[in-house]
Amino acid sequence: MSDNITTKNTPAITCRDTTWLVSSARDQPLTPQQARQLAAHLAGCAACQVASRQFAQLFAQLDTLLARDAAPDDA
Amino acid sequence: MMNGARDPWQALAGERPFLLRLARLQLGSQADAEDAVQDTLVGAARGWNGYAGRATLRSWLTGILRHKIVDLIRSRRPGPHAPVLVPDGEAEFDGLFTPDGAWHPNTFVDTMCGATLAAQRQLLDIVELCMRRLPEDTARLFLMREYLGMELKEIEEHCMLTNANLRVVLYRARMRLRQCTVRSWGEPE
Repeated sequence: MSDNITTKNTPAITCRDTTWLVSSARDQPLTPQQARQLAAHLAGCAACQVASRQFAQLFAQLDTLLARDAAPDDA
Repeated sequence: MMNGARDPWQALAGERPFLLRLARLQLGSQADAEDAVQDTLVGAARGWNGYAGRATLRSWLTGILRHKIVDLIRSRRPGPHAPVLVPDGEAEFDGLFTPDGAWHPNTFVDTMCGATLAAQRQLLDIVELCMRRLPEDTARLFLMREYLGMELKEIEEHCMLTNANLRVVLYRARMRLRQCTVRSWGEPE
């Protein structure tokens, strides 16, 4: 879990940790430390680059399906 | 959506099942869900001339329904549902990763969307189908966040969940949705 990641000297995180951060970022901004860890891991991990693009595509489709990308509207 | 190409009521009625599924999941009661959807459709019919096709019809209606559901949920604290029991851990995803937390090469699916499915509507149908496979409690909490846009704290209070439990539920939902959608993206048309 992202909260369990030690915060000393931006230690490396695993692919599994990365999925936690990608999910968490959907709910609240990552801490600067978490953002650095995520960026550092993504830079060197081809599988996580694929997975994070898949998540981004999925999230964009969810936004469309659930009308989160439309201007607020009422009737 | 081609505004004016169809009878408004016919077009609106076509979106009713989708809206009803969203409302029923959040409101628990079939009667409340039908009321909220009916209000949405009646309001949309009244405002039809102002709609002008600026969004898809479903998106427009989904946005209207969201406000009605949020108002109803907030007006009847505490939540109408029993507290959600969240099993510990995320062991169900162990097969996706090696023991040291890397993606397991045997189970990693690298399909991107758009490779075989070009139509946006098809992609959205896949997401909706995958969402309907989530357990009901998971789907309800996931959509409180992703559809209703409620903050984690409000969901925790409303559903009597800890922050850690809620985050596990949201994580699981997103991981399951990814697994389900990437498999469908990889299927030939």
